[in-house]
Amino acid sequence: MWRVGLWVCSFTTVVLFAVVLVAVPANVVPAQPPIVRVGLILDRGGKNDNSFNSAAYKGAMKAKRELGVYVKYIEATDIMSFESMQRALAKKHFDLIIGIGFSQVDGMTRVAKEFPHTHFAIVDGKVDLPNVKSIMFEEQEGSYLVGALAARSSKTHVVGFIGGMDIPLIRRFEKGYIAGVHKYSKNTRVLTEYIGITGEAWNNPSKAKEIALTLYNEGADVIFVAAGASGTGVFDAAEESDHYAIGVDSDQDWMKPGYIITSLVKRVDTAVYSAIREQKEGKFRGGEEWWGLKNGGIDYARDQYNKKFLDTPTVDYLEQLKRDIISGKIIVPDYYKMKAK
Amino acid sequence: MSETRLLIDFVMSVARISLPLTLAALAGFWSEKSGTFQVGLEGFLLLGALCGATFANLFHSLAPAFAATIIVGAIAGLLFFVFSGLLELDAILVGLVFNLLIAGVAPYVTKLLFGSTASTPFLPPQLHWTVFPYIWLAFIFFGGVFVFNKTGFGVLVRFAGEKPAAIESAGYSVTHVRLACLALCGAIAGTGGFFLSTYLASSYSPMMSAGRGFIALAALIFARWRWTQTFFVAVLFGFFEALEIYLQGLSSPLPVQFFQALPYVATLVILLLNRKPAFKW
Repeated sequence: MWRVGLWVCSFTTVVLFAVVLVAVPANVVPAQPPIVRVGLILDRGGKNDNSFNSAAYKGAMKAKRELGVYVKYIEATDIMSFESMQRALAKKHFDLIIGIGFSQVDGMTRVAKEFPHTHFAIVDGKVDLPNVKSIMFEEQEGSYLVGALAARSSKTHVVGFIGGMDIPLIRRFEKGYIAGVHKYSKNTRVLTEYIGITGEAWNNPSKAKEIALTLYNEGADVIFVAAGASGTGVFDAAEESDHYAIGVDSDQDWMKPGYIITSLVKRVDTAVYSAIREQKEGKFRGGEEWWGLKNGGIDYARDQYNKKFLDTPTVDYLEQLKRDIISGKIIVPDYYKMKAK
Repeated sequence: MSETRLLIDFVMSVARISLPLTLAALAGFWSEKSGTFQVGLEGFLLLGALCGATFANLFHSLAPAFAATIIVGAIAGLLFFVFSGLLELDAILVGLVFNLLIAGVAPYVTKLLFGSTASTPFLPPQLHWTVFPYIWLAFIFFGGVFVFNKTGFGVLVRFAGEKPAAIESAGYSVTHVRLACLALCGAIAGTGGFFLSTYLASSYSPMMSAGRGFIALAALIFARWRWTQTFFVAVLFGFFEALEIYLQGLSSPLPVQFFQALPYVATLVILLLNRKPAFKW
């Protein structure tokens, strides 16, 4: 008898739980969706990763406020769910579906083919279809700048690079960074480490911290980290051992003030906002769209938290490098093109 | 001078990496010895990590957060037993579902408390224990040696796993023993997670257990469910991971994947060298 009771109890718990889960987000949906409907599918880091996805979310929310579009965002929890999310939004007649992160390329290639009249945009990946805008960034240009800054800030003449998952995109950061370091000083060594070769590498701050401590022990005093949510582990290590770090994607200087020299900022927010505006104004076009130093899509962060690292000569130096890269006087090595050779 | 320094750094690194692994493996020991196969270690670790960072943020102090994490871990262990023991569901299924449940509930909890589905806020640097985690590990290890070998409870645990009928006929309840072991397992693994988010990092971030629970399970099986061996195998896994990090930093021409694979290749090699039929229930 008590066994039946237990079943009933557990069943009730599950049902109650489900009701709570369903009931709470239901309030968020507005009563009358405006005309342009935008679906935003975030990568696994979620909208509060203080990095890449946060930026995308911010851009979409700005569009919602200023352009009056309807935005629905979804946070993916695993890599297998992207395609079904994209398809679900397309079936619900969303006008523009934006996928964040290279993991969504395969799914979008299939879904965009099935819905040729729906517009899609993908950040950090390339889908060769007329109804898809592939938004890509010149990460190597920004990495070059922060590399030069790292070498300039280093007292030991050893700097570090920590990548998340070993993928071409992160290699692109690495190659640009190393070139930047060597631009400032040929004698500065760069120690490179990757956290892992699976998706877990983006969410493993403890291992990132361990790697950072190892690199600091081996003599590095500035570490540039491009590893999504794992990056916080490097900032912890910098604070604990009194060294410096450089953040990535969003402006992360505020996270550990005094220990983060700057952040390579990828204006995913601007790119997402601009894609939504084009959709709203009926000017949406498929194809590649590159964001770099020249159109402000890539930059290094300057704010109240890193003032003490960026004195006037340093800023002048960086601005000069920036102008030289934009004018083509300096050609930054690009891993994507290196591979093609 | 610099060699000693390097060695000390390396040993520290091994100690830090092994900490959550050893705690999770030793936690799994209690569950499995008493007859509940435990694939939920990953979930217990993640739950501990979530509780650790959350309670430390709410209480602004580590000691009560630690106590609360132990309690929540033990309750989660009991909950696990409701399904695996009382309702007699397959323990492997319960474990897998448990892992998914924790991974799914965590963003919900952080969203409710901190308005973010991703990570909890950072803990200030003064909320940081540096010695206590190892004292705790030593306490768990030597306490376990004592309880398992010298007390009646240890004998009961052994029989609950190997010959449940024997303790039933001696007038004890297998259910009670397994229940206690599951609570113990949840509490110990929870502390592993607590250190993961408060000592090895300074906030909780989603899925931060990153497969450590399964590595701990492998260590436990590899050590054939023996207490001391389990501890050392978990440390060995930590050693290889530290080695991987160290070697990767030496800017060698070998590809990254080579070093990344090292801990797993080493595990396979040791498994081959150590090939005997595994422990039978």
